[in-house]
Formats: sequence, structure tokens, C-alpha cells
Amino acid sequence: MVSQSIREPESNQAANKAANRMASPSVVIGLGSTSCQIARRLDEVSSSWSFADRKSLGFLYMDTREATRGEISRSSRFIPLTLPHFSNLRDMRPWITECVPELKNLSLSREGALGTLANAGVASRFNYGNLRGHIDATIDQVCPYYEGVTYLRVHVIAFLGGGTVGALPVLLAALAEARGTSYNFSVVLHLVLPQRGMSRDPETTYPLQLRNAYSTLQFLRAASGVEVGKAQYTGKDSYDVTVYPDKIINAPGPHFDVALLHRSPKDSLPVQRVHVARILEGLVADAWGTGQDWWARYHETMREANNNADARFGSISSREVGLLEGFFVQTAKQYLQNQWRTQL
Amino acid sequence: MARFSFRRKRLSFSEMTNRVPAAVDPLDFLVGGRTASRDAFQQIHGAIHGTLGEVERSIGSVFERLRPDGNLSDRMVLEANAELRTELARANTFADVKRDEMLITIGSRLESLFIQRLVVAPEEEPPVRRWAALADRAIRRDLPVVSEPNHSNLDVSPNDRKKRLTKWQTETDEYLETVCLNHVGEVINGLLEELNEYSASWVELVVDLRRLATSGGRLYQEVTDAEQWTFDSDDPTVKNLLTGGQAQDIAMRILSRFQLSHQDLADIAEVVHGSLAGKPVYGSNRVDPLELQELLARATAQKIQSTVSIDTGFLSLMANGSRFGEELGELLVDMHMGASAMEEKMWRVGDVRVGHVDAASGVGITASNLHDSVLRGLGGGRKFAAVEGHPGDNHRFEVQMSTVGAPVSDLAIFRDMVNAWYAWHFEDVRGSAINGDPSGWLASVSKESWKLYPDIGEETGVRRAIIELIDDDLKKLWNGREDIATRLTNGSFTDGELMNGVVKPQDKIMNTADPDS
Repeated sequence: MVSQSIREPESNQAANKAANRMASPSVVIGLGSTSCQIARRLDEVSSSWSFADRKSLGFLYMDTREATRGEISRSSRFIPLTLPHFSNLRDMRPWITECVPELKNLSLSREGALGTLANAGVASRFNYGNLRGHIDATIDQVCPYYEGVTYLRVHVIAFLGGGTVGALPVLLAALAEARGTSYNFSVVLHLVLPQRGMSRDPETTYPLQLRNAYSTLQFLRAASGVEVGKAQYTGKDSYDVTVYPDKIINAPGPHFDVALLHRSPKDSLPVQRVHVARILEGLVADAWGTGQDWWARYHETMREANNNADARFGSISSREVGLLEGFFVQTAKQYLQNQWRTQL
Repeated sequence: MARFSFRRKRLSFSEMTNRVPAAVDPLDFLVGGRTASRDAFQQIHGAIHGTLGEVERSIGSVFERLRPDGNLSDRMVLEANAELRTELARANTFADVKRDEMLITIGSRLESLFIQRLVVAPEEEPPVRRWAALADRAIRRDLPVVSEPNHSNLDVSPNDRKKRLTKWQTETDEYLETVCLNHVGEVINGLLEELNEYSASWVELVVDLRRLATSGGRLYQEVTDAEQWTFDSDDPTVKNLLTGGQAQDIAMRILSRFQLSHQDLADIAEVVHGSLAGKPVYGSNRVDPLELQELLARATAQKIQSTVSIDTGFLSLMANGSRFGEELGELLVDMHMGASAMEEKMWRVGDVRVGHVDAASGVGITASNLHDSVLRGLGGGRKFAAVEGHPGDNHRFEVQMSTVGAPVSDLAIFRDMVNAWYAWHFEDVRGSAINGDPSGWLASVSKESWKLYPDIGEETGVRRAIIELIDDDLKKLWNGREDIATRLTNGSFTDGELMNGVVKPQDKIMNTADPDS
């Protein structure tokens, strides 16, 4: 039995370099350490793409860990979700109280699920100006207005079990505000699910990761306007968020076009990174192979969906195409063998 | 006694202008069929000659300024001399560049030819002898001396000046043609060197390939061993649909209809050439035969794949034989169990709106009982595009499913997530503080909610909406427990196992009225 390697053979890379993979420019935003590593992986993989494709692809990294800056390439845009010391902030300001009763309530732990989502929520509000600036600059970079391309896709990767995902509402608000400019873009959320085998302490940490995952999914469902029960409070897809220094941002929906739930085939961080990055690669490369096929199918499904809110959630998996590639290489070997055996 | 003169015919660039061909592609003889060596020589000659045309025109204008009936100053003669030397140097440079360009093109053309012939005509001798005669024409000549007349040489009567200018121009013309022919010779020598390496490598490589392809060879073993045709992946979402034997049958069927066009061959050669990243396919430092075989296979695979439309034909390639319907049913069962293994973990099975991504996509003309086979293979609860009836008792089928569109509550870990959320809020207080009082729950949730839901505004926040959602989720879990239990465990599920005892029957409905409001 032949096992298909995840890595593309080097000989193939040169052959593929000239191919045009991207029809729509894309910005990939990694939110949190896990997601930044996934985005970084795609960044590395795409380095062998053609110049035109690379030009249409931008990366933005956000994390509460300053150390993430050192793990990404020096030229990449990194937004540290950090706060100055509490003593330098005036407590009880709306942008703070909207998140936490008081700053002193914030846990100092920023370690994944052990920290609470509020840390990232407050920090993203504090860094909102920086966030908007980087989003605008990255969009402008991949989609120069003077070239006449005004449509792009934004892929946001977030590990649902972590703490940094608490910045997601603010990030979506920033994207909603950016959408109000001359650019038109769709947002694809890549939500990486927690897995028991990948938790450092499955008995303690994993339930907390699941809790975070659930609350973030609830937020996304509420923010996508799903109506449930008596629909007294659900059914609205816009919200306001107050950011530093007390500026109110209105975030009209829809906030995302599709949210994809990713689960690693193995309980291993490297496998998770490679797996999600590979699916992401397929979707970013929307003029090529699996991505081209998936987007066509997605639009077809969305057309037929009778519940737009829930239709935004889904999961995707690899097709058999990867195996078919092996089949065709083997078929080609058969062809060559036939030629050489009969003619030589 | 009669005297015979064997005086060498003078070379003339201007005379050759009308004789040499101006071919669009002077090296097309390398891939063409029946070009004689004389014509090949002429084409190379024409290419170099064409490069020097501009120099010839510039030299012509220099002599034009020195016409016999005009005034002539010392400075004019000096300038003409200097310009002429510059133009002759330029001629050498132009010819050098063109020669190098042609040598590079010859290298890549021969590499492409080498690769193409390996695929379609490995038995044919390399076309070396045909061009051997070119060697006789590659003669190196000494560059003639071009005189440098001064003012006194040319400041003479118009007739004398005319004669001297004509002589000077003739020398220049001969110089240009000599430069041209010397460079043609260098191109030919380069070509012959490449051909020698080509020929030697070809003979050696053909022996290697014969050894690989015949019984006992590595390639032979690779294609005959069914195990090599059985692919699997580390990724559990990827499931191979074919057994090794089936894959071999289909491959043979594809190859029986497969033919490579000239353009296909050129594309294959280009892909292989590009993949080698500068490593030659022939010569002393050439690529290893196994690596070359692998690259050829990959490039050829792309062509085979592009000629076989998967969406419209792959499964239909299997659509013959008496057991096809049953085989397809078995195949789809395999898909159900394998291709979607990962989604099995994530999504509940069998719900009306839940399916699996890309479980199958195929269109084919098949037997009328196919619909039943598909239904049986997938299980009745799946939603998939149906089989369309066609006249003549044939059916076109397409099976497409997607989890896009499935509600989040269908996640298999959904229950675990709700439990975790619930436990975090209530584990400590459930027994004592709330005592089954729903308002106590809400008070507890509200108090801690800022940690999980960085709230968004006092009035416009999503917290209340989230509480409404939680209520709905809990109801769904409770109401669906028997349905899930029946489906997943054939009725052997108990309440305790389903909800892990977290949610009690009396807790299943929460009052969504927010105590803060």
C-alpha cells in the first residue's frame, strides 16, 4: 500500500510554480498562537507559488503572546494583543467595563483555555486602531485599488479552545468597518476545534477548551442572526462594540460568509497544523484543484440552503483527488512501461 | 600552356543578403523531418546574417557620407574610420550574442527532443548522423584586414576616390561575412558537441530503461504489483475507493484510449525540463534514470488526468460488467465508512440535513437499478442529488453531499461542549445554591458571563441572545436524546450516558428572561 505524503514532492513544486492558483486575492488572519502557526505554515507553502499569486496573498498575525512575533517571518504584520500596565489605564471606561467589571478582575494568565476570553477581548479593544490600520494596509497590499480589483476573501483562523479567540468579536467588527470602504470582501472563518488528545491535561484543560469553543460558537450563531425559541433576543446580526478610547463601532452583519470547523485527523499539533493549512491552501487557491471545486459546490449549496444562518456553518474534508493523483502517476508509469517494454 | 586559376571566391556579406533564408525559427530543422544539412546550414547562416543587417546598414551610411563628388575634410575621414571600427566591433558583439542565444536554444530544443523521444519513440536511433555533414561547413577563417585610409588617400580626384572607397567597402563587406561565417561555424560546432553527448547518453539511457521496464525491473514491478496501486492516506478523510486490481483495470482501460498529441509531448518535455531546475537530461552530469522516469511519469500523469474527465467519466469507466450495480453499492458503503470517517466524529449520522462532503461525485450512463444501489450504499437518510432518468433505460447519476448547511447542533461533540459549559457554570453550585431554581442558574450565568462573552454593549449585547440559544440547545439535546440514542446505539443508550447526568429532566427548559433586565 502506498501512503500519500502530505508534502508535495520537490519536483512537483517547480512544475506547479508557473500555475495560476488564485482568482480572488486573499488575506489570511491568524488569531492566537495555534492559528498563527497554521497561517505561518501556509505562508511557507505559498512561497513556492508564482509571483502573481504571492502578490495576491497577505498575512496578518494577532496574538496575546508577544513570543509569537519571533515565530513568524520578520516581514509579516503582527498585532500584539497586549495592554499597558493597569495603572496606566483609567479603569471603568466604557471600552473596559463593556468587557470586564473592572480591570483587576482580569486573570493574568493568558495560557489558552486557562485564561478567559475577556483578556483578548479587552486587549483587542485597546489595540483597535492598530488592528484597523493593519487590515486596511494588508487589503490595500493584496488588492491595489488602482489595479481595479476590489473583491477579496478574508480567511480568519481561530482555535476555538484558546483564549485569544475572545478577540474575534472585535476583529469581526473591524472587518465590518473595513467592508464599508471601497472594497467588497467575503469572510471565511476557520474554526479549529479542540481535541481531547491534544490537550496538555485532558481531564482539566480539555473541558475548558470545550467551554470556550461552545461560547464562541454561541456568539457566532447569535451574531449571524439565527432565530431560536421565542426570538426575543436572537435574530439580529449587528452589534456595537466600544473600543479605545471610547469609540463606538457599529458592526453590521453578515459578519462571515461561511464558518468551517476543522478537526485534525490525528491528535498531534504538527498534523493539525499541516492538515488545516492544507485545507486553507486549497480554499485560498480558488482557481486551482480542490479549492476551485469547493467554491463552486459551496455557492451551489448556499443557493439551495433554506436557513441562511445555519447554512454558514459547515466542515470540509479532503477529496479523493489526492489519491487520484497517485493513481494517475501510477497509470503514467504503466504507460511508460508499456512503451519501453514493447519498443525497446 | 593553359594556366588554371583556383583563386578563392571572395566572401561578400551584401551578396549573401539575398541568398540566405530568413527563417522565423532557424533551428526548426532539429525537430522537423527532412531538412538537408545544406539547408540547416543556410538557416543558421541566415539567423546570424540577419543579426548583422543593422551593422551593414550603419556601415553603408558611413560610406554614403564619403561620396566621391562631395567635399572631404580631414576630420570627416577620421570620424569615418572611427565609426567603421566601432561598427565592426559591434558586429562581433551582435554575432556573439546571437551565437550564445542559439546555443542555449539548441540545448533546450535537444533536451525537449530527448524527453519527447523517450516517451514516444524510444526505439529510434537519435538523429545524429543526419547532421554530421554539417561539420564540413564549420570552417574557421582568419578575419581579413580592413584598411584605414587617411585624408590624403581619399582627397584625390572623384574617380580615384571612388575606386578607393569601393575597395575599402569591399574589405569591410568581406570582414562582415567572415565574422558571420565564423559564428555560424561556432554554432555548428556547439550543435555537434551537443549531438555527440545526446547520442552517447541516449545509448546508455535506453539500456537502463530497458532494464527497468522488462520483467524483473523496478518499473515492471511497480506497475504489476497490485499493492502499489492501493493508495491510502494519513488523512482519515481521504478514502481510496478502488482496490489495487480495480485500479489496474481502469488504468488499462484509460490507456487503451490514450494518445499523446505533439502539443502534449511538448508540454510534458517542458514540465520535466522545468522540474529538473537546470540539471541536464543528457551529458556527463545528467539526471539519474530513476529520477527521470519519475518526472516523466508525473508530467505524463497530468496529461492523462486532463484527458479523462473525472467528474463525468471516472466511475462510468467501471460502469460495465454484470455486477456493476452491486460493486457501486459496495463502493459507496466504503465511502460511507471511510471517506467520511472524520465527519463521523463531528456530525451526527443520518439526520435529514446532514451529509458528508464530496463523498462521491460521478456522472455516468448506467443500469436502471443504480438508484437502488446508491440508496442502499448511502443509507436512506442522506440527502443527495438523485439519479435522473434518461430515455433508453439509462440513468445519469450524481451523488453530491456536503456538510455545509448542517446546523452546528449536529456536531457530535456538541453535547460535550454544552456539558463542559454547563459544568463550568454549575458544577460547584448545582447541589446547594440553586436547588433546582432556574432563576439561580441565570444569576450564576450572568455573573460569570463576562469571562466567556466579552459583552458587546450594555443594551445591544449578545448575552441575552446567547442565553436564548443555550435554552434552545438544551431543549434540543433533551428532546433529541432518544432519537440520537436509537440511531447511534440501536436503542441501547441510557439517559445517563447520553447527558452524562449533567442535565436533569426538570432542568431541560430554562427561563430566558434576563434577571438583569
